[in-house]
Order: sequence, then C-alpha cells, then structure tokens
Amino acid sequence: MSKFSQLDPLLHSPLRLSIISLLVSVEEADFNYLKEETGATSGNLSVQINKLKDAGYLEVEKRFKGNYPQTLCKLSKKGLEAFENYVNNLKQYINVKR
Amino acid sequence: MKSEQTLATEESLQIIQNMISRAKTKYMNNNFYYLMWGWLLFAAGITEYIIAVVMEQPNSWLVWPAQGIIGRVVTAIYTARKSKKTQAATLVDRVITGLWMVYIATLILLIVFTVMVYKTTPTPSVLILTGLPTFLSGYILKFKPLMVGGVIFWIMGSVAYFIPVEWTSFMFSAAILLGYIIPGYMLQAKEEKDV
Repeated sequence: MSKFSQLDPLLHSPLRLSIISLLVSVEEADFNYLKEETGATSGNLSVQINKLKDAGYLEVEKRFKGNYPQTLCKLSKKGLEAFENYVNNLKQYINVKR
Repeated sequence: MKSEQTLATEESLQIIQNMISRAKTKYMNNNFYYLMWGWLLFAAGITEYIIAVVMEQPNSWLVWPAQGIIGRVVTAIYTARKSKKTQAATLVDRVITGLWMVYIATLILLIVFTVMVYKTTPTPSVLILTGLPTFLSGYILKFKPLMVGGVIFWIMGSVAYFIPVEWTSFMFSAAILLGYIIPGYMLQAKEEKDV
C-alpha cells in the first residue's frame, strides 16, 4: 500500500498519463492532436492540461495559426523527469509481482 | 490490494505503450509531400525530354519553373486543409524537414550559377546532390531502400556527365523513379504495416 502510493498521483490517471506519454514521443503537439489521439472531450482535456501545466509538467503556448487559435503543448524537463520516475516505479511494482 | 496494484500498473503500461505507438504514426502523414514532388519532378523530366528531343521544340526548360509552381500550389492547398486538423512534430520530423530545406537552398544556388556561368545543364550535379538528402533520410529513418536510392542518385548523376545532354532529363526522371519514388512507396507501405 505504501509503495503503491509513491506513484505520482498527477500521472496516475488515464488521461493525464496518455497526454504525457504522447508528448514524450512528439516534441510538441496541438490541442486537437491530443484530443484526437486520447479520445477525450475538449472540456476534460482542457482541465487535465491545465493541471499538468500548473504542476510544471507541461509548457503551453497559445497562438494563432491564420484565423484559428492554436494551443501547443510541450513536455517540460520537470514533466519528463516525473514521467521517468513514474515508469521506474511501475517497473518496481512489476518486479515485486514476479 | 495486490491485484488492484497489478491491474493499475498493467493498465498504466498499456496506456503508455498505446500512446507511444500512436505518436509513431505521425510522420507517415508527410509522405504525401515527398511522393507528390517526386511524381512532379519525374513528369517534368519526361516532358522536357519529349519537348526537346522528340518534338525538337525550344524552351523545354520551362517545365522546371512550371512544376515548381504546380508543386507549391498543391502543397499550399494540402497544408491549409491539414492545418485545420491536428499538428504534432517529432524530432525526426524536424531533422528531415531541415535536411530537405537546406538541400533546396543549395539546389537553387547550384542550378542558377551552373546555368548562368557555365551555360550547361545542371542535371548531373543535381542528381549527385540529391543523393545526399535521400541517403541521409534513409539513414535517419533506418530504412535501407532510401539509402539505396541515395546511392542510385550518385551513380546516375556520375553517369549523366558522360551521356549526350539531350538524354540528361530522361536520366533525371529515371533516377527520381528508382531512387526516390519507389523507396517512397516502400516506406509508406512499411509505416502502414507498422501501425
């Protein structure tokens, strides 16, 4: 129980983990890309992006592409470290299970 | 409690793997540009050969600016439609895009000064130069057919120095087909299969 609680609660959520995992692979992605790949609603995705941004895991840039507003998300160094720690902790749990 | 932990960890790993796989499909979408330019250049070479050698008409060189204009129009339309949808960029995207941008800048200088100063066809030099981004793209993507394509450009570019000038545009089209278009379709097929 105590080891389990060491998993970062911010990343231990399906949608937030999906967002971070996607951004690990791409350098940056816009809101629509994240929405398409995660299958999340706009409202829910927006809330989770803001949570990750407030925690310093994401850098979010809002700009205009032509007449269209665009939100670009990038993983921060802190976010990448948090993801790496999360994956390392997951591996420990799997080893314990074996 | 342990089975809850197991389920949670397995679910988490599944999520991570799924998202990383989905992100890999991203640069498949750029194949359109590569193949479109490949076919345009192929058509331009064949057309120049037909106009200059078969029909024996002057100003066959006009096919090149024409294909450039057509290519830019098609690219602009396709990009405008795409940008309304989604955008994501990987490091590989950036490196390969940068590589081809640098190639185009070098190509323009090479063509302009070869024609202006030496008043000769730039085709052999163009083919040799084109081997570089083709080979390097294959190397970065770990895709051998593109690397072979690069070598084909180098070989055919070298041979092009020794053939009659009127045959060089035909040679150009052959090099584009063998060294670029065919590997381009093979890469597309591979990426679709990997998804």
